Amino acid sequence: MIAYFCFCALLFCVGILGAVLQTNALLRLLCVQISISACAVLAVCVGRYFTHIDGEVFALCLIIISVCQVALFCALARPRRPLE
Amino acid sequence: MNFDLIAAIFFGALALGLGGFAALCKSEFSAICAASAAIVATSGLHFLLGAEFVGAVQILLGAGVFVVALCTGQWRAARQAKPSKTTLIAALCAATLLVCLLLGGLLASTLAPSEPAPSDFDNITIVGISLFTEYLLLFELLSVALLLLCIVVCARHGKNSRAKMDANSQEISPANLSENLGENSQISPPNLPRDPAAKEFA
Repeated sequence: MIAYFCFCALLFCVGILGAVLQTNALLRLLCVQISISACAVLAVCVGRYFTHIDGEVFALCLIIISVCQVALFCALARPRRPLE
Repeated sequence: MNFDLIAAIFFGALALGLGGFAALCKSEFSAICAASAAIVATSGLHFLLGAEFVGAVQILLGAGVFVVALCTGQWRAARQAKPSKTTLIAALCAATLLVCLLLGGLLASTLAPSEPAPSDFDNITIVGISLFTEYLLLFELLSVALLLLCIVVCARHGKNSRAKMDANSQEISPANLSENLGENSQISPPNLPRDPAAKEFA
């Protein structure tokens, strides 16, 4: 449990560091998504610790919301040349 | 050592390393690939924790969005792009929807009594039962959010396609062709050096 807490804290800090250091908008959003995935892992871990399903439901909502953010950015950003 | 411990250390180190590479790398393409791999490694931890459904959803949606971003070329987005009015309004709507989702989650947990998960079923069945009983309101709000997202993406794609078709039809219209021909007819030919053979023939 403590190891998972430490891992989630490290991954969250790495995501925040990327969101601060990167200059591209999409990369910043993806680093925020890494932080959100760390929160999702922590939610599942806490749910397992308390033997309840709420953590998994919360993690599911976090993942869907973060995916909505990235997809909304892809939809609203200026279209560029596709990858060749 | 236990297999689960080795796998957890492996996935954790992979997620941390790839996440750090994505955070510090200057190449945009490499950073997006590394972030995608970090998300997949994180979903491996979900599988190790026994949350198979969450892990599968994270692999499908997370990695799928990265692939879509790569295929549509959005990783070349401008570094100093100013947000337009439409983008700001959409961001405001998305923030409002996020607040509604969080409030819906809190409301759902207060409306229905919290029951312990039945242990006779597997993980996917338990998550499904919980979503359709205790967290039905939150599930419906998430469904509406995804539906609105699909509508926005389709509307945006249709708008871009129409603008592109209008630009193409404007380029090859007869009026533009005649205007271009008229402009070209008034341009004087450049002073080219004369061919000595042609001079002799004249």
